[in-house]
Amino acid sequence: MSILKKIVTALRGGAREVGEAVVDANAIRILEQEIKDQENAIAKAKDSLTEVMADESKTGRQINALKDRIGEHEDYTRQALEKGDEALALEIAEKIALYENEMAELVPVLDGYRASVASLKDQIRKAEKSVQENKRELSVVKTTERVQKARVSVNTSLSSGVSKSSAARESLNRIKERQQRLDDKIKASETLNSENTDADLKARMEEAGIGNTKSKANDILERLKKK
Amino acid sequence: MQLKDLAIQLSGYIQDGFKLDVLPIQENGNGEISVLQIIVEGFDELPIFVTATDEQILCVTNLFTQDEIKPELTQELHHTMLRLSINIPLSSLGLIDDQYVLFGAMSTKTLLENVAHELVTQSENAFESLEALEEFLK
Repeated sequence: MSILKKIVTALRGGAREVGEAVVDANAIRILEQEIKDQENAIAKAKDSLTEVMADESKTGRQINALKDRIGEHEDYTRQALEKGDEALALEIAEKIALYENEMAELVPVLDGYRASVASLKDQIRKAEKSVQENKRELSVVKTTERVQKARVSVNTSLSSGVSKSSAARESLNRIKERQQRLDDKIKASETLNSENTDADLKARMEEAGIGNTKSKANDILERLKKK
Repeated sequence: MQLKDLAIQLSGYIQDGFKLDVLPIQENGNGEISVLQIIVEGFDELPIFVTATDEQILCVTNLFTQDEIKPELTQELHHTMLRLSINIPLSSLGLIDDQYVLFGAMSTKTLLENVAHELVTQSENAFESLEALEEFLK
């Protein structure tokens, strides 16, 4: 049964501690061992595969060499026959028979190697698939285990007062309040900033004699003198 | 990436303008860190619990427990959560024992910056999900 299916069964059975229901320490160890075994098997199969492939190509080369030689000797036989040397032709033909027998022995060997290569490749692909599957299962098991562990250690650390997380509604309200305070603060400092720049600007304008300039004693005196 | 390395690298990290605060939680006894509690600045009430296997980093935020929801709305809540989950970027909704959670999973080969980005996104998602599902709560 797949791990996910086990978890669903545990859930529907009303198990509260799903982790414990599904993940015993053995399950993880067994899965890890299986993955290791399969990976070893794959490595071995790959070794055999390279060996068999080497044998295959060696046998193939041997067969090709024999074919070449047979062709060559058939030529020689023809030449001997053309020259009317029947005895020599027969001798050469005997040689051809020898090569052909050798080739007849090698062909089934080559076929055997080819079949082994195909079957090894097939085995490797199957094993790789199953490793991948086991790794995914292990990942599900480990995640389940981690979540469980996190729950337990968070609960212990929370009850020891490291950080009290309160009921959801309270949390929500407190975060909202904090955000509101932050907003207010930003607004307040914005207003403050703008007031400051206003005052600053006014002062500089006055100094430059622009806008509402303050009446100065000298100006007043000047005005009175004119009257 | 090991949790210890992740803790060291993420501590004080600033992502998208948010500072990350990391608290490694040790498993009883053997000193091995099994969980990180990560708080994204401003989301103190919604800590993210991070665990890792060889393959993935898993980030879980607790939303609410079964006994916090209005019993008559349970069925509707489940439907809503299933449908909502698809719309939430980078995170999904789930249930661990009686705890409803928001979670995200990443490959252990994820770049640090992307891990940090996911954590920030998860905090925002958790807050917005809670806000969206508030009426189902008691």
